[in-house]
Amino acid sequence: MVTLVTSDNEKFTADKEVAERSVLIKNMLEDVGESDQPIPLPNVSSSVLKKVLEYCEHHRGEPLPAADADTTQDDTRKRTTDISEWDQKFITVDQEMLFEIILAANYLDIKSLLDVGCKTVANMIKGKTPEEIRKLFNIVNDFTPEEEAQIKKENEWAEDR
Amino acid sequence: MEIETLSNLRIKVDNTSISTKLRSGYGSCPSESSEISQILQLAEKDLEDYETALHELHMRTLSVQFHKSRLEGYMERLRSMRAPIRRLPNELLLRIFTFCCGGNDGGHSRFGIPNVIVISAVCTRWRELVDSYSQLWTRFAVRFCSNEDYDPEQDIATSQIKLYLERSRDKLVSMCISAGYWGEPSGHPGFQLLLAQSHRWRNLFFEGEFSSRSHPGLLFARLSL
Repeated sequence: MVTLVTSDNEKFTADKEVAERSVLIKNMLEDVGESDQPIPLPNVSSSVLKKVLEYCEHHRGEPLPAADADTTQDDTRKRTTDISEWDQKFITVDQEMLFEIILAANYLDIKSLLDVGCKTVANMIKGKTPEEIRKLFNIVNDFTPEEEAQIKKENEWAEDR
Repeated sequence: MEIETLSNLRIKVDNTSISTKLRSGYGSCPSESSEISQILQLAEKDLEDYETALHELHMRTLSVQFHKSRLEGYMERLRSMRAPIRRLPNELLLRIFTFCCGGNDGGHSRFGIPNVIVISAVCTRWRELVDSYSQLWTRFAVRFCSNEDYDPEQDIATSQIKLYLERSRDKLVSMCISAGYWGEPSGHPGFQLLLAQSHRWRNLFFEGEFSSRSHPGLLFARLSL
């Protein structure tokens, strides 16, 4: 078993096999060797780690992506935004939690979870207008009138296809 | 709210007494008629004061509305500052955008606009990110009209090609071209742009009649069909 300590000082225990789905934790465990020392995770809060461990537990035993997967993979893998049913249900959370999970997956180096999070956001963006996207994510339109004019032009070109 | 302009009004409106007089059925005597004229003159001045007061109120309303909307804009920006998506670093946003610009739908929104164009129209940060990441501009689809319908003033296809070729920089590009009959050896100006960059072609999907008769200009392209 591995003990993990979150930013809000809560302790979690997890099977080594589950915790090691995080490349960061795997490397830390390899560095410290056989030890009962808890592993501090100063960038992850308890509520987020709980979700991350739930994901790792569900995907326990599945093959991990190769370390250089991002650089060698075919473009098509990145281009699909399909998400499995369980993952979809798992990631149905509010925006606050969604982006915290993405940040935690990136920090802990769990590529498959990072992709689930990023694909979810991509699916939220796809099919929407810029105004709808701004509204959804609380983004302010900060373009100058000149930039707005250029954008309008680009959209006219694109609409013609 | 007290309105300064209306603090010195001249006329005291007394509808009861005027109604009684009107109901008496007698006309006014000369002295009464002159008094009425004086009252009406003063009433005209009061009316002008009312108009001035209304104008002042309107200006005040506009000013209050302006300040209210300014405050609302400020609050919107404050809320946006703490929007969860702002916490993502650029590399994660780009990862998301890469997913957006691919997929089975060819990376197009429901309005037929490429997602890369939609994303670049959201805010300055997203636009700068998308513009700087040439990989997102390597797939595009254009439609060329036939030479009979060609109007240089309305040449959207060439503008599109310019945009994608510029932003994809030196990357290989995949294109989907649908084209009408173009019997001119010089071809559509957009073809010329594409031909000049033929060393960057990765995939070219051509939709339409393709022959030496329909597109003589393309015969000179370095195509490995």
